[in-house]
Amino acid sequence: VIDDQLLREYAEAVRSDVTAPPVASVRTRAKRRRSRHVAAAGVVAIAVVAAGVIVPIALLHNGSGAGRRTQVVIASPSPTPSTSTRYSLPALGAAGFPASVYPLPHRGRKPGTIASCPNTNGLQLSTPSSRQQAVDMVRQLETRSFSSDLHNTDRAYWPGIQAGWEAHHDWQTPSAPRKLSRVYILESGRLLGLDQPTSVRYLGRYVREACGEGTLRDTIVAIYGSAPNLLQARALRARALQSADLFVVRAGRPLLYFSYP
Amino acid sequence: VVDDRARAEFEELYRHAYPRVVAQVTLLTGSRAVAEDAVQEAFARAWNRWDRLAGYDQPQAWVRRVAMNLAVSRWRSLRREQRLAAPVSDGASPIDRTADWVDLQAALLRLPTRHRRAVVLSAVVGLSTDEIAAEMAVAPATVRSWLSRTRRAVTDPIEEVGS
Repeated sequence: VIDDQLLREYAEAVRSDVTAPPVASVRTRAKRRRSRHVAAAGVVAIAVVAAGVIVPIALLHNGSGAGRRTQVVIASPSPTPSTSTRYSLPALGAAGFPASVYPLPHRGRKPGTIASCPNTNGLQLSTPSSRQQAVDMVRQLETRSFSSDLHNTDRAYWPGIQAGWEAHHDWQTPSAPRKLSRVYILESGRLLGLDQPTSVRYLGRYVREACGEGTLRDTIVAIYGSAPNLLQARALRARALQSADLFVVRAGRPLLYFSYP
Repeated sequence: VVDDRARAEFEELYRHAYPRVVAQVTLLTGSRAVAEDAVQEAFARAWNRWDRLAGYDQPQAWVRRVAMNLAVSRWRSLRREQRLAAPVSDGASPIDRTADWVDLQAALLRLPTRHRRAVVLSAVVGLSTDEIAAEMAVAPATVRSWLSRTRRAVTDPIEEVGS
């Protein structure tokens, strides 16, 4: 039986084991933070001045702008795309990212399932080769470069890739998000019909409800964990729960479009 | 401008609160490394506005709230590596090695983040329902509902992998 007392005991065990680093390190961090803010404020000031110049010029060319409507293309993967330019996302049809392979995604049809779904144009049925590539990709994502990850990912998941690299940058971690170690692929294959473990049992339903039957039919899943089974997971004190990456295939290559949980 | 007295007060708070807040945030995220980083960042932010925070009744509460927000954000963005890492392996203590704690940790990490935060604030920090509601900007009834559901969920047996 688990109760609050156990939580308190654990908190106390951690507390007694923690030693605060010298307070000077906090002040150094604070100083670095202030410096970054000053630099960012400078960039914003320049941007504001530039906008003040560019907008009037645009209005001169286009009249007052009244009555004009801006067409907003909504591609709303979760999380929201960052406006930062450090890891900016290529525009539709940008060099190296042909629109036929990286078309715009569409919003998931059911809230609370999958926020952004791959465009169904150009989807192909998976082959043994593409399924194996998807498995290999599970081990490669977030270990190489931002650009490499984008090439291996559908636009539906690009904001997720961007957020991961942004976070790594903000937190001043080493040159790439930490490499995954000891990833055990537990199951892989076509999502439709695969006997899914308990922890990811609802994935098929999510895909159907959010992205439609066609995407479900073409989805490859790779289910993985930090140990090959629950017993070993516990022995390693690793989380026994599993994760799953979903892929579609375009132009013969698997593209990640959702990562669970 | 921070004078010597304010500086001493900050250092006192830091020494006293740092381990406590790290422990609380560790429970929230399952990772002591993430917790320590978030708490250090929260204290850095506190130092930058210490002239104002020093006048608060409970500056520690401000630090805890910021640290928890940072840690959750960090934890989400790194969920890929988080879910593959041993959640308590970096916080070695005798309790880590008990089966009870492994089960509890796994069950906690399956809860929605806000529910988990409410549990930690209630059971470990010792806040009342109203205080949790104020800190998390939700209605007290919502907190009561979370805590009730969470405790049921936490005491449910963990599903076996592949079962």
